Amino acid sequence: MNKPNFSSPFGKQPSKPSFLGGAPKKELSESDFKEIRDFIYSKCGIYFADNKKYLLENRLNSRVEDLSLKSFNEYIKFLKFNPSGRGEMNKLFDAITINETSFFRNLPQINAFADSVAPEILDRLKNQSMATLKIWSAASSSGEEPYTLAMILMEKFRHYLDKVKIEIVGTDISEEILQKSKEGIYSDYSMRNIDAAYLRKYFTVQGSKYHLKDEIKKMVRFEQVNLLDKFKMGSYKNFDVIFCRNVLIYFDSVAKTQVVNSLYDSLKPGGYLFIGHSESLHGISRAFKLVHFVKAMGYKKE
Amino acid sequence: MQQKLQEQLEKIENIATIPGNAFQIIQMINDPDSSLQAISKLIEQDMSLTTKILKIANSPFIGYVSEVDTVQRALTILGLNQVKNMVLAIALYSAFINFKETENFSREKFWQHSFGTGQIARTFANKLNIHMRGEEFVGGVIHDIGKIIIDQYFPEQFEEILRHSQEHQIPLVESEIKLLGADHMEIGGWLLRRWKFPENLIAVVSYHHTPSKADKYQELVSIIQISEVLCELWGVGFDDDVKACVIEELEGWQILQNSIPRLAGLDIEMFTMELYQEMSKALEFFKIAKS
Repeated sequence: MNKPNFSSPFGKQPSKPSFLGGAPKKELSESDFKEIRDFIYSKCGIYFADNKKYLLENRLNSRVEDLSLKSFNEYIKFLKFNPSGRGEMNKLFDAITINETSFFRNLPQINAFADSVAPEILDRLKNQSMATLKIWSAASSSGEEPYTLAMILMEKFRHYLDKVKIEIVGTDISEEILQKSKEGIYSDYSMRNIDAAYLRKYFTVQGSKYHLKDEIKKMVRFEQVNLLDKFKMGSYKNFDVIFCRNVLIYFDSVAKTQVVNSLYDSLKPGGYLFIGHSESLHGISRAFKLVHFVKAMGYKKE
Repeated sequence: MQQKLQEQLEKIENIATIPGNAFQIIQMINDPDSSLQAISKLIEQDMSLTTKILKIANSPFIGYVSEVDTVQRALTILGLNQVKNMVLAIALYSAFINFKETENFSREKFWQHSFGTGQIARTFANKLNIHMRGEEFVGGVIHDIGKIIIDQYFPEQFEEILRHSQEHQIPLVESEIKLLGADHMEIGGWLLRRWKFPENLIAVVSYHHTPSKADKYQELVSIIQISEVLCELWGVGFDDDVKACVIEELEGWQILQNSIPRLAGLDIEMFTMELYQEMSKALEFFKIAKS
């Protein structure tokens, strides 16, 4: 998931805390904070409120150091005006986002997909010719979520697969994390919620790493998408299910509304959107129908 | 209701009996001339009832800070209506506490579902400022009482009902009517009427799947319908395997929407999440009533 870590214990640590002997931390002035905050917001919709200045300072300190710049102000200029500033954008995204995910994360929502949503849609599709079940994992981070959905379809709905084509796409803003997704190699941490049967069946263990089998890997394709890029978002059409979990909470309400409207447009009528289990579309969109599942909620486009 | 079924039910009346003084207590509470002292005295004659009421009055569920050590104090704190409803719940519970654990019917699961529904209903009414006096809680607790009767006194039919619903993928209620001639709501309602329970609770038991039929108790019955569905969705279910539900499309929700305008602008996601958190307290109460 591309979200900044405001409170998660699993977040990236500021790279060189000064008390461990790293270079002294640079100060982020009020005006530089506002400028860089607005710049980040315009690029990816993530908004650092005034009380999150320290966070941005911590996160970006390592970028300033790695580039041997003297101040945050120089970093802003580098981002905006240096020709290699574009490449730096991805590093900036990586620094401010945290990729907190795992296979089968928030099981009730995954079960809602497996027990209610997937059977409902597959039953509808199986009688159509050339039918495709289209699933989008928006902000897929290192790929655990789309691969989880792929494993479930393989495990529970194999008998549909000769009638219905499956298309699963995972997107994220960070190229680096997409690269990692394509490799499909995971550590213990990603495996903390997975059922042993799935683990045995769909992974090979090599040393301390878990390698996802090709059978599942080839079911998912990965693409870079910035959820606020209206043009790119417009090319994502006719999805049956979209997972966009724990992303919206980090956008301000304008950006949130824009993203949710885009996702709505990307869904087929009868399609479902899942957002984070503690998130709500209240006040963001009235277009969807709220559906309660077993210990989970989802949104249906009618 | 079919003649034969009714005859069979008549016999049950003698099997599951409600503790003798429960009705006396309720009648006394209903009588405006009764003094608090007199009511307390009557309750105190029943040791086990007294213990339970004091336990409940002192539980975190009630949230009262200092110790409640007499029935009279409990009555003052909880209010007469709360106590009346509590007496009803405990009485009904006692009547069936010894019912057999059967293969198809988990007692533990049944009571969890019952108390869970009661607690959700209670929080639901509180949060929306719907004025209730404990009847929503008791209503939740007893709404499925008809199911105990079917399981305990018509075990063969009950098994057949389960099998039939499974086979044909139809709701249990439909199988109940087909194989028994009446569903658990009709049977439960019949029993409570015989036991002279208050009308509002009879309405809950009789119409919790169809609140629009509940006449002047529509609001109460609607709350129970919604609470039961949520309870099932949160894994504290008992009968039908509810897997998905659009709350706003429930009959009960639509009824409430007409009488409570602010329901229309409610953040249902947040609201139901709060209800879910409160449900854990139901199991606290459950433990007390069981002990």
